[in-house]
Amino acid sequence: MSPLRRRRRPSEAVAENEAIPAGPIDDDEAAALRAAIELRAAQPAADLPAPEFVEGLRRRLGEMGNEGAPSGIGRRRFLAAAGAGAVAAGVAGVVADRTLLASDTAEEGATAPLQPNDGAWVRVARAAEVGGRTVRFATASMAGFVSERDGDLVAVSGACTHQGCLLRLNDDAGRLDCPCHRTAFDPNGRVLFHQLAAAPRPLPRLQARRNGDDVEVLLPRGDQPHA
Amino acid sequence: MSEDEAGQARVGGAGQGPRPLRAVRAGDAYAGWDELYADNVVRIYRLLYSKVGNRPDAEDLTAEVFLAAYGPLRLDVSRAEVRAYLARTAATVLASFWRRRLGREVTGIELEAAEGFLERPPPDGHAARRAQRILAVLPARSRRILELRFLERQSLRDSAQAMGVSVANAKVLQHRALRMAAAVEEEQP
Repeated sequence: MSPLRRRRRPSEAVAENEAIPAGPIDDDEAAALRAAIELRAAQPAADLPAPEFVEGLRRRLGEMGNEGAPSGIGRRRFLAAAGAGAVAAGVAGVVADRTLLASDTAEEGATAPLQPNDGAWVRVARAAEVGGRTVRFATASMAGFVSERDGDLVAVSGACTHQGCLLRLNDDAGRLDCPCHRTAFDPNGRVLFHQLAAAPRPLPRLQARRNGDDVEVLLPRGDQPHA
Repeated sequence: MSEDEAGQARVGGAGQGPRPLRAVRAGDAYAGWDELYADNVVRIYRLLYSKVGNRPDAEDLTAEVFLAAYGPLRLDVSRAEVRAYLARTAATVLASFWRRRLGREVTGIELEAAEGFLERPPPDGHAARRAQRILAVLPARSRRILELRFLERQSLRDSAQAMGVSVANAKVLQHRALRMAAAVEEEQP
C-alpha cells in the first residue's frame, strides 16, 4: 500500500474478513470495530476454521512435541505417524503415543477394517473415477466413500460415528461433512473437527480393491449399489 | 456389480500385536494430545473469531494459544480443567494482541463466560439472531448496508451499487451504521 494512502479502517478490514491493520484508533473507530466484529461472527459458519489451518497447526504442534517438548511435566510426545502403511495411506500429521495414550475405540475404529460375516466384493465405482477424487456409493446396507491417494484405495463408511447421519461429500474442501452437527472427516475417515462433548470415533474403514477397471468394496453379500 | 465368484472375502492378514498397556486416569481426561487438540481447536478458534471478527487474526491467535498452552498443560487433568486453562491462555493472548495491534483492548475474554463458551459452544444462528435484533432497530439504509456487507458478504463495490451510491459514500454509510450498531449493542447487551 502506498504510504500516501490513508490507513484502512480496522472496521473495514473486518468487513472484508482481513487482518486488523496496526496503529492507534479513536473511540469512534473502536466502537465501530466492536460492532463489525460482532456482526461478522453472525454470518452462518463464518467462525469455522479452514481444514488446512486445523491440519497445519496440528502438524506444527506435533513437530514441537518431537523436538523440544518440556519434560517432567507429565506431557507425552506426539509421535510422527509411524509405519509405512500410515504414510502410504496419506495419513498426514501426528498420532498420539500409542503405547500409553490411544483409546481402544479410536484405535480400533482407525485400524480394523469392517469385515462382514458373509461378504462379497461389489463394484462401487470405475477406477478412472476415483483417481485423486472421492466418490460416494450407497447400497441397501451401506453408504460409503472411496478415494485413491498416492495409488492406495481407501474406502470408509459414510455414516457419522456420532449419531449416524449420512455424511455429505464436500468436494471443494476435500472432506466429508455431517449435516446434523458441525463435524467433518477427511476421506481417510479421520476427524477434522467437531463440536461435540467428546471427539467422535474415526469412520470405519471398508476393504477396497481394484479389479481391472473397477473399484470394489467388501460388502455384505447380496448388496448392490444404487444407481 | 460383479460379486467375487468364489466369495473369497478374507481380511488381508496383517496380524495385530498384543494390545498395548494403557494408562488409567481418573475421570474424563483426554486420551492424548491429538484428542485434546481435535476436541478444542474449533472451540478456541470460534471463541477468538467472535473477539476479532476475521480469519487471519483468529488463526494466528488460535495457534498462539495452543503453542503457549502445550508446554505447561498436562494430560492427566479433567476436560474442564483443560478448557479453563485454554480460556485463561486465550484471554492473555487476546489482550496482548490488542495492545500490540491497536494500543487498546477493543474486546476481552471474560473467563467464566469463555469457559461456558468452550464447554458448550453456542449453536449456529445464535449470533445471527443477536445481530438481527441489533439491525432491526437501525434506520433502513444503515440496516441495509450492514446486511449487505456483513450478512450477505457483498463487496463494498457491489453493496454501493445495490444501494445506488458511490463506493466512498458506501464506506461512510457503513462506518456511521457501525457506530449506531455499537450504540444499540451497549443499550441491549
